[in-house]
Amino acid sequence: MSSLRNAVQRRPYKERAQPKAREQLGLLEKHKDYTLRARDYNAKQRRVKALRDKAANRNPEEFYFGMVRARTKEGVHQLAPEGSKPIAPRAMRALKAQDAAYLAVRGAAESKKIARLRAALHRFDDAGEPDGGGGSGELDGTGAGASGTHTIFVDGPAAAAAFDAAEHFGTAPELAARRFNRLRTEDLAAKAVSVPREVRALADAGDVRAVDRWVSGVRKRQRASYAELEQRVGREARIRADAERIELQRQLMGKGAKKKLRGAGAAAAAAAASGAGAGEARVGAPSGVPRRVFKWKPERKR
Amino acid sequence: MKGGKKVIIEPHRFAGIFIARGNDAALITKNMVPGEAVYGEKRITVEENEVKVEYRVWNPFRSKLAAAVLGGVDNIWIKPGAKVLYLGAASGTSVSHVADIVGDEGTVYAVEFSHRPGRDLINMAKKRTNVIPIIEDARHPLKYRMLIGMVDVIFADVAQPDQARIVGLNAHLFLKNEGHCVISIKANCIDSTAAPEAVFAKEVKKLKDEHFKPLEQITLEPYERDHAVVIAQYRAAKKAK
Ligand SMILES: C[S@@+](CC[C@H](N)C(=O)[O-])C[C@H]1O[C@@H](n2cnc3c(N)ncnc32)[C@H](O)[C@@H]1O
Repeated sequence: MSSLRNAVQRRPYKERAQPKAREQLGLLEKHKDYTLRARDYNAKQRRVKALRDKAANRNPEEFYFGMVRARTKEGVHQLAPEGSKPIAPRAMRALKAQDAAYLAVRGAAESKKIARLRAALHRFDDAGEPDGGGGSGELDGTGAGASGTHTIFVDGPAAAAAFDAAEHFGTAPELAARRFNRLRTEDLAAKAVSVPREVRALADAGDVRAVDRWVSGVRKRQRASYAELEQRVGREARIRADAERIELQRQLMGKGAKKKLRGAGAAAAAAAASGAGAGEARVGAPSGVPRRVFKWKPERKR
Repeated sequence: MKGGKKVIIEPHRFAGIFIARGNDAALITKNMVPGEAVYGEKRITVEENEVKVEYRVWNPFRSKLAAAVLGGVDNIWIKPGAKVLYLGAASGTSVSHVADIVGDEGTVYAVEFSHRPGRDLINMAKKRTNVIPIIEDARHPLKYRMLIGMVDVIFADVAQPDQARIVGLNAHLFLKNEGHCVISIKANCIDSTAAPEAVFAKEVKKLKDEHFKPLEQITLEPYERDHAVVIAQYRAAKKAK
């Protein structure tokens, strides 16, 4: 039967809309909107009534210390200042752990960025000119240029005495010291440098000034990259140092009998001892310069 | 690739190697398989004579050969068209750049005995047809002699104490006379107690015993610590007096 009923065309349902004349009032309220509104209104009424009752039934003898401690400042009630309550050592330890974890995350992110920058900043001799790239870093990649020793084996002392770098490498004398790319003399002429098309166009037009400006722009961007790398290397070191310091504080707050060792010599000894499993030495200073060193009594664990 | 429009590409002393300057200052090789990186390295696309060319950054902090190139060796002997035997290929990160350098005309035979990095090596070789991966111990070159013809250069980075002997064994079978070997030496791997310079000198001596004539040696600071690359010639012709 019902399928029959479905076969007959029925009038489509049309929802009533807000009349044109009352458009300024917004959408027409429907019953489901009304229920929501009414429920909200009643809840508020109940809350107001509850507060009214509480006030009416108040005990006039009631006393809390907060009532005498509370202050107003220029007529505004002051909440108790934060941190007025001392943090329990256990909670403090937990907070320190959070701090250490946060620093570890930041440090890891920094290392990743450093690795990415370093992968494409290869520290040629003239990197980051004109100051040679700055930084003294030997293996940290912030120093400039290859610094390894290059030995050329020649036949006998006579050949060694007559050795001439430019001649040996077959390059121009001024390029003999340019380790990363000593172009051969014959290649110097055919210097097929690939440059962006618009710059080539400038060069073809003979606009030397514009080309120079473009080249110095490239150098500037390169310098900026090196500067960023250096900055990040420094920041990573600071983050790691802070993490270590906080970790030491956290350990000191923990359990276990400990005693302070003094001096860098003692620190080294303690480190060695911990390696041998005698006790634990936890070194509390960054970059291998032990400042404060503590030794924990070995504790038997069941 | 972003920034590609603002890059200068300079030629390098060695054919097949270039230098990019832009935001970066990087050693690069021309990517044989444009659009794909091998180990997540940065790529740089430029337009050369209306055609797009892609380069890959060759990180000297990861590849000893790249570190030697930037250190300024006289010759790496690996050049377009060369046949190279690469011992200790690992996952093929450096091998992929060597493949870029030798190009379609050249061949790289990449030997690695460990299976796990060998898998990556094989995957890399699927895309680079000039790489022939060989998963064998380089100490037993007879096992793979059928796969390899004579080569121009042997590159060795096996990080084993008997590396010189391994190179000798392979050279006797595969290296043509007056061919070259390029050897990366990690002082720690050979003798962790001796001074690095002494270790390098000893390795050079061992190479001499294997009929190599040392040409040059370079230590890889600032890219690696206590590493050296030695380049030598095999059965060099006696100098005409
Ligand atoms: C230092 S890694 C090479 C890294 C690679 N050349 C690079 O720059 O990316 C040394 C590799 O040599 C491999 N190896 C060590 N002894 C070997 C042997 N006897 N035969 C073949 N491969 C060996 C090791 O498995 C390791 O993957």
